[in-house]
Amino acid sequence: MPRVVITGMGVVAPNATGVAEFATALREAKSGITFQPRMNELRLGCQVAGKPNVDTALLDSTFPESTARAMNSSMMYAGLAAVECWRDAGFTYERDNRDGIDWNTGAIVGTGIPGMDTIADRLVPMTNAGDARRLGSAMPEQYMASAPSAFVGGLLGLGGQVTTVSSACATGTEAVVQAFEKLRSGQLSRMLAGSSEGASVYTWAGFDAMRVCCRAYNDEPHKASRPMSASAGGFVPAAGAGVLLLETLESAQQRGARIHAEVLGGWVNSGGQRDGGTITASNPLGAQRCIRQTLEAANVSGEDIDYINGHLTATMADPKEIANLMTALNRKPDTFPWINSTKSMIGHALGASGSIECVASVLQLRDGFVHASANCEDLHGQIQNIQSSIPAASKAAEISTALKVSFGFGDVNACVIFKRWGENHD
Amino acid sequence: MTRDEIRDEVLKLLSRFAGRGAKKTELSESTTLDELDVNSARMIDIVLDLEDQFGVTIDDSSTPKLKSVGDVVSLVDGLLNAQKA
Repeated sequence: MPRVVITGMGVVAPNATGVAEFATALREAKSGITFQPRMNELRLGCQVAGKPNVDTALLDSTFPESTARAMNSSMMYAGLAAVECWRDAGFTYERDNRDGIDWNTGAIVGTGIPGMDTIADRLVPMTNAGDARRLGSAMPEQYMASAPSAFVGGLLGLGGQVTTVSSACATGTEAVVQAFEKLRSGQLSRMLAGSSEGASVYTWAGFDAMRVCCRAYNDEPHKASRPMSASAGGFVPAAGAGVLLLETLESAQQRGARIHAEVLGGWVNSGGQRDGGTITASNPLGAQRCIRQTLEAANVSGEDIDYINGHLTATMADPKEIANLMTALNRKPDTFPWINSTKSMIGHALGASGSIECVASVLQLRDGFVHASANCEDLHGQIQNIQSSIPAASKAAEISTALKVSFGFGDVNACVIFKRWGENHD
Repeated sequence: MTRDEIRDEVLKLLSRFAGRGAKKTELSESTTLDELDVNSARMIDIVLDLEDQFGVTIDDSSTPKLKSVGDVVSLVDGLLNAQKA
């Protein structure tokens, strides 16, 4: 079966737009969490969020005017990340060029909650006001579940499989695993893999109503996302997108592409909503099994993992996640690998979290560092035995095998293993 | 508004909807919407923008008859004249 490598990346995150800026933000532990006046007006308990700050000039230079009229925030983030990824991989993208179809490239770009801003801000209010006639022609293309992948496919002229996956907070990592499997099947040479999540207070309100979002740091937003902390009080909702170009090694080498890392393998499963699992909680056996199956698929052992990018959202599930990792990897506290939570800086971007964090994982592998896991000075009691594995500040680390884990509502799990690409690996 | 003024406004408006396959850069009343490579699904948006721009209401049954820039100009001109009457 073909080996699969990563030859391009793009990201729109709350603390940075663009991969270079994101790498710097990770190294500097830059928070992307800000106070959200609209959440305050609507009297949500949580009034902070990770909302990407996208420059208007970047939008104008990336999207044709006709496209921009029919684009919500989820599509915008997906489009920006995909175009950056495409160019990073060495391909050209011209805003107004619609010539050519790339039959050998597909896209799996997932999302958690499609088009909420389109639905909440326009579709529902205008329809309720009896003004549906004035909605225009571009509503369904914005709220169909496949909007992010369809949008990306049209921008880049992709002629392979173009589809959207949705598995709640496991979406982004699942997209990478599915794209990997597509390439391993030999059907295509390249797959864009990633996910996006739009910014809408209505998406966030539902989670706030569940009392799973942080309410205690509305006046100190940068402290609000506290994965692994004893004072963690829920996740901080966020938005954004991450996209990676997965490519067969043969294709990458034929065209002389720069390689960021290798994808060794991945797995996706469910805990069946049994044995402690529910539609909103993870069955530990399912999560552990997914991690073990990922090791097997990647043909590595638990001992080989030297870095974990956790799901770690800042809820009471964090200590359980650590326990599951320890069991599945068969690692003791004193030999536990590096682990951090990118969400400590950017919040929980729901369906986009997995792909943004895959980009973060590959950057740390490629550049040889582990970023700080912020806001866990007061480590949770059940996690204190791995304190030395949690970087308090960004530090150089020659990690070579990274495990990215994501868990989602529906008791679904997705994990993937990346390998550092170096002179001794080709 | 004179017909020339309407035509200038219509041309500006339609140019925003021209597709990337547009065959003409110099537009006139004889230019067809096909030549502008207007996505047929976007005719709805053109009609809504015309309504906003000129303060008129365009009946849905008029839309399929709009084949050229001149057709659009005539429709708007007619509706504005009807308002005056």
